[in-house]
Amino acid sequence: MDADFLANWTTQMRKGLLELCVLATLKAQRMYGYDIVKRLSAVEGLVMGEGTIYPILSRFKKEGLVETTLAESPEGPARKYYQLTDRGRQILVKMLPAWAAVRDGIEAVAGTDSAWWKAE
Amino acid sequence: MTQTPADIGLTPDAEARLEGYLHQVRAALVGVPDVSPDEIEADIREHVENELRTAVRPVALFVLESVLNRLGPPTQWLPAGRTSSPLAEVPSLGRYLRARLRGIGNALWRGPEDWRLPYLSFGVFAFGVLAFPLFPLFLIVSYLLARAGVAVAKEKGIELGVARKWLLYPPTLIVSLVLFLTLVVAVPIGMTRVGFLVVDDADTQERWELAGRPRMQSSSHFGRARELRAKFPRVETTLDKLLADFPGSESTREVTAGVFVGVGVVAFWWAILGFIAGMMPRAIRATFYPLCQRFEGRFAHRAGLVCLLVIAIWCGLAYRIITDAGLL
Repeated sequence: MDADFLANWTTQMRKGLLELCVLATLKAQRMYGYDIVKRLSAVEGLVMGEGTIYPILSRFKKEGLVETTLAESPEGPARKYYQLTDRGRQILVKMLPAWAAVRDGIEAVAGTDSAWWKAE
Repeated sequence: MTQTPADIGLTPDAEARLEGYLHQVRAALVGVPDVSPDEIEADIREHVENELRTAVRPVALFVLESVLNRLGPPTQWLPAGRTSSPLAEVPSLGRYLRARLRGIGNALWRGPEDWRLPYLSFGVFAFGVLAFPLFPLFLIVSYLLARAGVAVAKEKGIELGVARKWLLYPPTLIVSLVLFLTLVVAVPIGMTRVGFLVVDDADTQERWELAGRPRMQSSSHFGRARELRAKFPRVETTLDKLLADFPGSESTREVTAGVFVGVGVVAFWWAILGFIAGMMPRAIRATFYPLCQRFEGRFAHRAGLVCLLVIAIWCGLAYRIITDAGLL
């Protein structure tokens, strides 16, 4: 029961954070979809399955937060590159301080001392 | 962009596994309006291809399985806030149809260009079929939209799948076929027909003058020609002299001569077309898309040369007929 609760809570938390991370990954440059997946998958504990990122990109595209361009690739078919739109950039600018506020709030409530939960 | 498992180089069981996985993905995303299942499927294929780039071909099932495991189960690919697959909710038929219609509406008005144009093209084509008297007009509009759709897909490096071909090809095939038949068949037939009319007119005029310009009862051209032949059977015109050299009876000679002239006109026209097409193979492929995608200039040059040979033989025979008729 506790395990199910924890798994569900972790899943939901990661999904929300992953959206922020996808946008943040694109803040400086356009990126190939596969490279976004690989970059975020390398962050431990963030990505549950590499496939979860593609629906997020698709949804962001429909919502106008990112746009795609195709570029020729020497290794095969044309590659789809993602980049932030103006709207995506504006939202990211608001999301990052919002996340910082949540993180600071959680740390204020739960504390930053890892000794407690390690002891538990 | 969109590749088939065969392009990736999978073993048959790995192919089946990937197709099954993609089917699960599509099922998980049915009724989720904020993502495009087509796009996600293409992304997954591309992802798998990238992961397997250095793998030994054909790629075995266990190798593919490790890639799919890292991708994760499709059921977890739902937007944040959803706790179960929409399929688990077993949507009603009405809800499913509404979702599909909404998807078509999105594709038409907000969707990516490479899908919007195929839908629009086919929609205009279908409407033209319903409003039949206006079909040619709608066909032309649909054709232009379809060609634009094909061009957009080509620019974006998207390989047209079967679905998009069904949407884009009907108007392009019909227009290309009509254009092809007009240029290759209708033009020489028309030229032959006009030639026959001119010759017949000149022959009737000559027959009338050789007969001593008699007063004719019939007012129509064909009526006068028939009347002259009936009243003055011994009058021999230039055409009669030419026809005399053709084999067969008097009644079949005109047909034989007509076929002879037709062959000459067709050979002449096809020779011209052959050499023009041989000089501009890309224009031919673009004009008759998708009928002539394997067309090459050398094919047309060869056809043109064969037609020139036919013309040479034809000219030899024509010279003999003219000299036999005593006209040279």
